[in-house]
Amino acid sequence: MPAFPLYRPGGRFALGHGSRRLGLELLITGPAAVGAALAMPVAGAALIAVLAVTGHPAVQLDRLAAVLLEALCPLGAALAAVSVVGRDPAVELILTTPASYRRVLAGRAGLAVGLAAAATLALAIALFGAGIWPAGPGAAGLVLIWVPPVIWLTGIGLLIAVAGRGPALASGAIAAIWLTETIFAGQAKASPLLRDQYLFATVSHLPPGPWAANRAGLALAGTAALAVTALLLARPARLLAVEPS
Amino acid sequence: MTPAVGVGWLPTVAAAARFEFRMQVRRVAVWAVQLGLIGLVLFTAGPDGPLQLRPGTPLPAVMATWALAVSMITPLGTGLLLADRGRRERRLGVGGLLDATPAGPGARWWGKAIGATAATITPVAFGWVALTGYLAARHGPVILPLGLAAFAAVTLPGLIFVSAFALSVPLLTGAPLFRVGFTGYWFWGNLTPPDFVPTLAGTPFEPVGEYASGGWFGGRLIQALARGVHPGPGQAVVSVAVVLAAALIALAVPRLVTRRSPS
Repeated sequence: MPAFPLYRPGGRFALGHGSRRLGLELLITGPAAVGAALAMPVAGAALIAVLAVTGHPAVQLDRLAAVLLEALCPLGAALAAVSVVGRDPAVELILTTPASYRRVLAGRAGLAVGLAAAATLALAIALFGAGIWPAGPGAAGLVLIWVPPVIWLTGIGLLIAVAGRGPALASGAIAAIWLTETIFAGQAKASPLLRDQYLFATVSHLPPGPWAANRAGLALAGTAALAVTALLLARPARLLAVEPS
Repeated sequence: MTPAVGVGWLPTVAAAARFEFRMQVRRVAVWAVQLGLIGLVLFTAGPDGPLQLRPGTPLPAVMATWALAVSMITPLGTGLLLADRGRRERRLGVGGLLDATPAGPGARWWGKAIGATAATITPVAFGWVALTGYLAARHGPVILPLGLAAFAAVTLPGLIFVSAFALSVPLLTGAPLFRVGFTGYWFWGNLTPPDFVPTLAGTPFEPVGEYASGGWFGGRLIQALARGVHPGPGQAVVSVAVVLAAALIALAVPRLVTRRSPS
């Protein structure tokens, strides 16, 4: 089996090689990472379906939809993304090949997050269609409720995973940050500086102006974290000491 | 690992536990994550303690509420950090090599469980000792035995419960899927108000230690209170027993399954 089938020597992205190679990459990324990416949207959809069928109040279903899309699905996506760091049992061997290991990791993380994103989008469309939807964001929320938190958490998580050379520290940090933002919701909303990095603006019913600024702030900060991660991976040898997990 | 030629089951367990403890306790991530989470508890506490403790609360309730606050957050780090330990030998391809030694797989498994769990709990215990010292300076030395009792009764059972599942479940699911599922479970099963979605929070089956805190020390109740439950000492015993029994079962099942299918 090729070590990284999505990539040609020289690092050129070659997704056009076909679905067989995509399947191989999925195999390397790991069924567990794929399952992790899909776990939150699937479990969330099941939970909401059961509650809707059993006659749960509409207000609570709307709130649960916001919690699922904005809080839980991004958390699952980020945890799945960081799990791709440190999976290769012989990084030193891969680094001797002409392929860019930065692109290999980016492809695998992108695959995990892409699966989570596709499942979350499907869940959002289904909930919107069923009228189970938080007040405020409207149709724009189909994307804006969950994409900025996904970018933010994934960016920070991958940065810590690469800096910390493995998923253990990164997953702990993601959970701690997520928890901190839950606990400090009041302080985060009150501070103009922190408000734009607050993950749960929809759940907390921020007004439209600050809500839009928050979405932009999260996406920008997450993109910046991804850029720093890419810079760190310019020297992929930093991952050599990692034990696969 | 110490060669186990001619030694019994217990010395092998002890040797494996010692090895696993040293390996896990030397990981920077273990200290960074656990002390970070303890710091979060301290940072979010009010002037009279965590979880909106009121002035004049009796000391046993103060200590139990601190223990409950630690127990709400640190098991999350414990589960995430232990998720990659159970499959480590298989992942590194050294399982066959270890099987060739006189140390049996059962003894190695229980040694791993004891050692890795103890190591992951060590930073929490250090943080708790520091916190108890600070509270002793504030309230007097009477707090010291209370601190020990509250940690043992409220925090420790939950940490053991989480450790057991974090070692055994990833054998089936892999670490990434376990981490996502466990994080979801922890918030759903312990911290989610029961009037929001159906949850185990506030029942004797929650490992967060609320029943022990309220039933034995008169500590703060949150989700149990939301259910209208005021657990007494008997319900606290049931809750702790259920949590520890579940941990034991979680650790025993992989061994039983492996014994039945030796391939």
